[in-house]
Amino acid sequence: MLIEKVWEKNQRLFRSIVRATIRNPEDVDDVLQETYRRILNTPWRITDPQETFYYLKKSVRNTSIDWNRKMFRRNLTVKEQVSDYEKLEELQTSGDNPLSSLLEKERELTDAGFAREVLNAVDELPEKPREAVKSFFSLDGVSPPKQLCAQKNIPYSTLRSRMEKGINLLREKISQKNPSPFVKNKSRTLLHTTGRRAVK
Amino acid sequence: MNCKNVLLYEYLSGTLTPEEAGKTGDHLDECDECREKFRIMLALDNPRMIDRESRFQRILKTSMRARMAVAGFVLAILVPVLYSYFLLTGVPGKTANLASAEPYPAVLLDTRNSSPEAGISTGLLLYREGKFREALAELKKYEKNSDAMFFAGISMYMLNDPAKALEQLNRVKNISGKWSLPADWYRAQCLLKLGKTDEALAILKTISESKNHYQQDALELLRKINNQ
Repeated sequence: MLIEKVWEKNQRLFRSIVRATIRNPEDVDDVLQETYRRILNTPWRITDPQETFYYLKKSVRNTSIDWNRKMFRRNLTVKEQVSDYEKLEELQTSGDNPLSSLLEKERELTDAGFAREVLNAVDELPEKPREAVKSFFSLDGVSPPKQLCAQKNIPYSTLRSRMEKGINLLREKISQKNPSPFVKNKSRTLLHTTGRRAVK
Repeated sequence: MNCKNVLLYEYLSGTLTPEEAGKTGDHLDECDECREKFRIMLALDNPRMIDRESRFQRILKTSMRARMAVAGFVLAILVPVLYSYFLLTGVPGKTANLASAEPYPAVLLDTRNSSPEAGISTGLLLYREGKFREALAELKKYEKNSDAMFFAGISMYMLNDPAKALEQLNRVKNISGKWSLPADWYRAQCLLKLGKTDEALAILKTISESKNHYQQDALELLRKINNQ
């Protein structure tokens, strides 16, 4: 079966995707299992290996994001979360609904918020790395790498290096704004840690 | 493996060999920085968009039926549109070629102001084929169009009816600046056939005095007439 073959071939990548998306490394196997179960339950008829690859990659990512949300809600009661907020007093005095604020925080924690932050940071990059990043990730209608190389008359390796530089700059920018959830730091608030208190 | 030789983009694209992918995955498990970069790449990667593009491109590349369907769809839209357009405006290139390929009259048809009626093209086609009678019958339908009137006049001339041709060309000269000079040239021809040499000479002299398409022909004809 094609799905099984593609899954088998790219299992290492899928594992890395889950690992990079969820906040508790111990859950990686559970998420992969859940993804595989979902995929096999979906009557998905695809005959092209490349198409299957994109479909599986998307499924892995979506399941990981769902997993984050589920864990966030399961492991923390509203009361616990509120107690962890440093700005609880501000929330209360400003009259905001703590639940809606929490949901907002949850959205920020998941990929939607992160992706938005990354995309905003891309626009702040210097011209060459920005163009290269947009080319490699098909953003804003910039030509694909090979076409762009032909247009600019530059070797592929140069464009590839610019993209790499762009990603490094993005990492620096984002880690300044938002400390990594993967770097252990005792001073972090709950929002920057795993959904499970045990890990903290 | 160290951070410098990790090919994260290729890893995410699924283009590494299983062995390379394994090493990259192991490195990602250990290296926080690379995992951060990988997470950024994941955020930039839009599988949904990639899916749509690649699926469409792949279908087009691999399926002859899909290509035929796309080509059919394009033709189904393009053909009626072009047909309607040329039906309304005439076939400009064709009209110009027809007229310019024809020895009589040796002028280019300015199609920018040509008649919207496609029948004029039919008339010119008949004219080009030397079917002057049929051409005349067709072109006479368009009495308000200077192109049709002019070629109707020439057809009359070719049918050896200089009197009617002259009458027609006089009308053309009065209503059309575009055909004024060619009309003069053929008016002179008609007058010569009718034996009105003086009037013909006056017209030919006017033509020869300015630089135009008929100047050399007019000068030569004047010389021939004067030598006789």
